[in-house]
Amino acid sequence: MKKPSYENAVVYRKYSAFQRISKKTYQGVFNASNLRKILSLAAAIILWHVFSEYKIPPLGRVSTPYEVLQEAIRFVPTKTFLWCAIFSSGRVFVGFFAGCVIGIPMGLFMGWKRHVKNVAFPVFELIRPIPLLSWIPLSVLMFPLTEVSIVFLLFLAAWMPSVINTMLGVENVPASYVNGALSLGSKPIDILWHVILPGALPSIFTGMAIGIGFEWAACVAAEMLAGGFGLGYMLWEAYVFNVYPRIILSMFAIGVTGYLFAAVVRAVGLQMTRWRQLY
Amino acid sequence: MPKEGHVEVYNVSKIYDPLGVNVLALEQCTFEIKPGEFMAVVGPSGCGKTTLLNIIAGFDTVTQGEVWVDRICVASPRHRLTPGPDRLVVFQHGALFPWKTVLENVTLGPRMQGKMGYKEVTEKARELLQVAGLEAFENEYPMNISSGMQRRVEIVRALINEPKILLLDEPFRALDAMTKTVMHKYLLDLFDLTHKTVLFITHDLDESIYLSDRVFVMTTRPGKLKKWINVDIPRPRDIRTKVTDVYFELRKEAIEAVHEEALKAFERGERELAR
Repeated sequence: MKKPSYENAVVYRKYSAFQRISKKTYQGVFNASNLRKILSLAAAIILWHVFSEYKIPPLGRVSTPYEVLQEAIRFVPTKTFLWCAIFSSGRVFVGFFAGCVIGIPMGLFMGWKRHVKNVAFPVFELIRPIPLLSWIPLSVLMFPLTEVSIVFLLFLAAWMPSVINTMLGVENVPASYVNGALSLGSKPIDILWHVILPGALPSIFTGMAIGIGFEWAACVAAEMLAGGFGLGYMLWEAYVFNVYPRIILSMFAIGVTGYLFAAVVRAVGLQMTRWRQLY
Repeated sequence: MPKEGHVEVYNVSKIYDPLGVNVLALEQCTFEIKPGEFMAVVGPSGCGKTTLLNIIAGFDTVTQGEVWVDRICVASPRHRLTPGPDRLVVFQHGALFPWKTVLENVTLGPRMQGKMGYKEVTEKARELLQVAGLEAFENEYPMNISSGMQRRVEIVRALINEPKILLLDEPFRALDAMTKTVMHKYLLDLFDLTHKTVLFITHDLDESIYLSDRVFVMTTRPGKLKKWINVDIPRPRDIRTKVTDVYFELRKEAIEAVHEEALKAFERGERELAR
């Protein structure tokens, strides 16, 4: 039988503490898989540069990466840009928040009580297939303030996926959990709070993640038509006034803010469903 | 002997009616479980064992007949469904809430009923978990402990409510053979300690004879009484019980009846597929 060897420990000793840390950092950050990721990003930017610099058709009239960078350095620190970002984020936040606050309880009750579903689901299913952007004229007609109609559109974007996903999540909670809670002497409100809500949480967060994606699509479209301010408006204005580098800059800005929002939703979701993580 | 937990089942029949096709699941089951008795129900799969348990637990309605627990009617055709902490169920596939830790799961029942204060419940839960050998896992989520441990937690979760009757619905079905024997021993010890009335549902004949005082062998659908087997093996029992002559005799007596029903169920299954 082989004795447990201490060879590994000896190997470990060959490095000083500092060397070990630096080696670890090197292995941790610049390992092969991360290098490949960086390489792919670099390749995309180089391709973009080549195509736009030498006027190769699809990107023939598009600004080069360098022009976009210059525009970013000049434009990002200005107050206009800051206000645009704040406006869009604020609209998205309000719309998303309202959509979730109204949508999640609605979904919970629709999944839980058959009668509520019977009443609410047909209307909901009638509305759901209508594309979000086709609501723009109606929402402008319905509300006197442009701001309200934009927020209403954003509300719809978060509301629909959160209702449907919450409802499906509740329906997927196994009956034995509800039965178990019942025989433990739970009252209906306890079952809602201790069984149905936590059981549906993973699905609720899926709905929220889908919702936050729809949010930005809806936000940009609404702002293009009736904005006055915001990242989507900035994009449209840049197009109208032929400031080409700013188009791409706006696109990047929307992408980055959208990513940040989605990351926050995802982080909150993971934190609240920690029990799903095996270790 | 305890005086609580007297279960009487009178003439219980159940008709399922999905899609307009009447399926007779249970036909006139009548029996009595004495206080502190361990009764097992054995039958082929799909014979209505779980239906019977669901009726007693109050999850399902009856079409005909009555169920009485300690002279209180808990199920009849005109009765509202009344699941409650006096008849606690340990489920086939486990119903520990995965979003609650072991301790939270165990303390949930008394907290929901508002019977005890938080401190008192926690103390009692720790005590019971220690008996089950789970005191080190009280802050784990159910997904992080083994399935044998999960079952023990579930039994503890039921026992802490001091039910009159414990309903076990094939609780060890998903366990491997090794874990199963350990769980049998745990259940036997627990039964010797508490002497609760237990209704144990299984399709495993060995298990039922080894654990119970009386075995109710059910026919295939519609489920009704096929045979009573009285298990007169003295307690406490352990793994050596399984190699005694009495045990073999009982097994011999039961195995034919069960096998016959299993065969019938199997043949009918084939017929239904061919149709």
